[in-house]
Amino acid sequence: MAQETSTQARAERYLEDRTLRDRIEENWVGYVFIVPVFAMFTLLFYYPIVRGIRMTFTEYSLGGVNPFVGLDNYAWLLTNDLFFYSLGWTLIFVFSTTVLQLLVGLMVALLLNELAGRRRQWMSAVVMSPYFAASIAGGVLWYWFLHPNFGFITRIFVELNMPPIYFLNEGLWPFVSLILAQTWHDYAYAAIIYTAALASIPRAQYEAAAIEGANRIRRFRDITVPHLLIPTIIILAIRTAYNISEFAQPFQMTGGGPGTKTMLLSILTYQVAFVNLQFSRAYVIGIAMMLISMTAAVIYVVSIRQEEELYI
Amino acid sequence: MINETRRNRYLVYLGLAVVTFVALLPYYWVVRTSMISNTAAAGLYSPWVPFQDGAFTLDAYSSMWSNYNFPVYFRNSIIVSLSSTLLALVFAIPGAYAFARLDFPGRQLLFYTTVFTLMFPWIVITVPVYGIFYDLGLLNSLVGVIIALAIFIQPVCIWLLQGFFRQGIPKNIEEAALIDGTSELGAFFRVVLPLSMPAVAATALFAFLGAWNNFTWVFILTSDQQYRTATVAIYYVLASDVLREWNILMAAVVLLVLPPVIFYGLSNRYVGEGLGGV
Repeated sequence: MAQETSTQARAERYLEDRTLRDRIEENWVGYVFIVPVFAMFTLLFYYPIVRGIRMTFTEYSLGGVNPFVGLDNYAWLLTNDLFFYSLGWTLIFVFSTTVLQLLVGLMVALLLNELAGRRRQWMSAVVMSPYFAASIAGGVLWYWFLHPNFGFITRIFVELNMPPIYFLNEGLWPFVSLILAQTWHDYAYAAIIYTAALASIPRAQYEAAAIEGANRIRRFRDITVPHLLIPTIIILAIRTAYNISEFAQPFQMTGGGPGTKTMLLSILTYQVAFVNLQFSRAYVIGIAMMLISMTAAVIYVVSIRQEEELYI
Repeated sequence: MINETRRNRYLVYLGLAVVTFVALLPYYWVVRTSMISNTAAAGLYSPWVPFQDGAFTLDAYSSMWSNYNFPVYFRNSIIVSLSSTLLALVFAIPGAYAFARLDFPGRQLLFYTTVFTLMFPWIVITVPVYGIFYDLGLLNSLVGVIIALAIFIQPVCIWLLQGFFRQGIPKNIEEAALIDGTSELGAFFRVVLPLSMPAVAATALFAFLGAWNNFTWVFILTSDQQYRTATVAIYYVLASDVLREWNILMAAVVLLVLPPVIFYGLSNRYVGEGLGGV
């Protein structure tokens, strides 16, 4: 034991003694492998981000001169009612879809966990299918399903002699429809992660608890729940980020309308940039979106760090 | 499981039945519409099932190819998805390997920036990229779309592959090769890569689906019909004000959705759980 500790200490001292240059020379293969990825990210990720930030201080137009306007674009954002309306609705949308996706996903995973073998594979292929459909297809699907003249629900109402509901226009319905459709499309993400987490819980723990006389609910609380903690944080972080950036499905369903009633930040960014051609202003809205998803990303990185350290 | 009762079993099946119903019902309405005529689909008393009242017809599927440009759109989808998948993999395989196995200064920083790209709101970055592509003359071309999509799917590729390299390949296999006198590069190409083919294939599948399903990039970077992919074409069919042929539109949606769903159904045994973390 003592010897082991001293060997470890010596190894640590050896690591500290190496200079940065030594480490670079030892690991040149690593750099060869990483440079192409990094080059690609630089071209289409890091550089655009920086270029975008520079753009916000100018009045940008394609191929033209871009006069410096200082903080005008930021001032525009902070005095823009639509932006704040849209920010509020985006936060509601993201919060409710993320929570619903998490709950439905957990329920699906718990149900699938009761099946075994081929039956389980087939079942999960069916139940997860919405997630693998293109989100634009999800948009068309729901647009058609809720269509006030020819949709499925209207068809039921016709049978019952009831007037149709304009799900994508009337009152609070557009908000509800967008949230439920988004939940439908992406709950499988949570389900996939939870299924994997449930499968990795050692059965022996349940058996031991059962012998001790713990009932189903206690076993769930004392064994299952602790194992699901990290997956839950991961799902919350990733889904928050993805639900903020979601564009295609809500864009297809309402396009932010009627009017600007269901304007999400992603749709607003698109409209300001590519319909109004105010690229600088659009990017300022984008910065607000980035800040929200970056918060989610930081939570994610902190929570996976535990696992990551196991491998280093 | 333990203490299993018959009542619990029934509850599980009931729950699964409800979930399946909710998952498939919107699909059902689309599939049904694609199998009847447009007048039947747009009627007040449109049939509940395609076979009712002799409404069944597969005309939508045949006229989709002859009356619209869908052959071009789906061909573009295939070209764009295949090329961007290849491009992304060429970059992601060595990158993921470096993240998983090699240690070098700056590795962690790079790794976390990769995680960040996974979670980035991509619609934001389309704004400056549009300007860059304008300067480079890449707007409105398949090449531009391919490059953009390759970057878009690359984080997922790196993420899936590094997980596999980390857990799927025993470290001593490489060490054995290194002791035999093979260089690190040689060990990678001759030992690690051949062993990783199943994981690379699974990653390629997800990358392909990511590109196939993508709407935003193609929608923003192209304006000519000839460069549209299926996703964007479907959007424009629905957005146009001319008399809508619902059954044809829905047939296109069915063909768009079918490949990913079938791929996943066939492969979920192998890759479903590898998705953890994407």
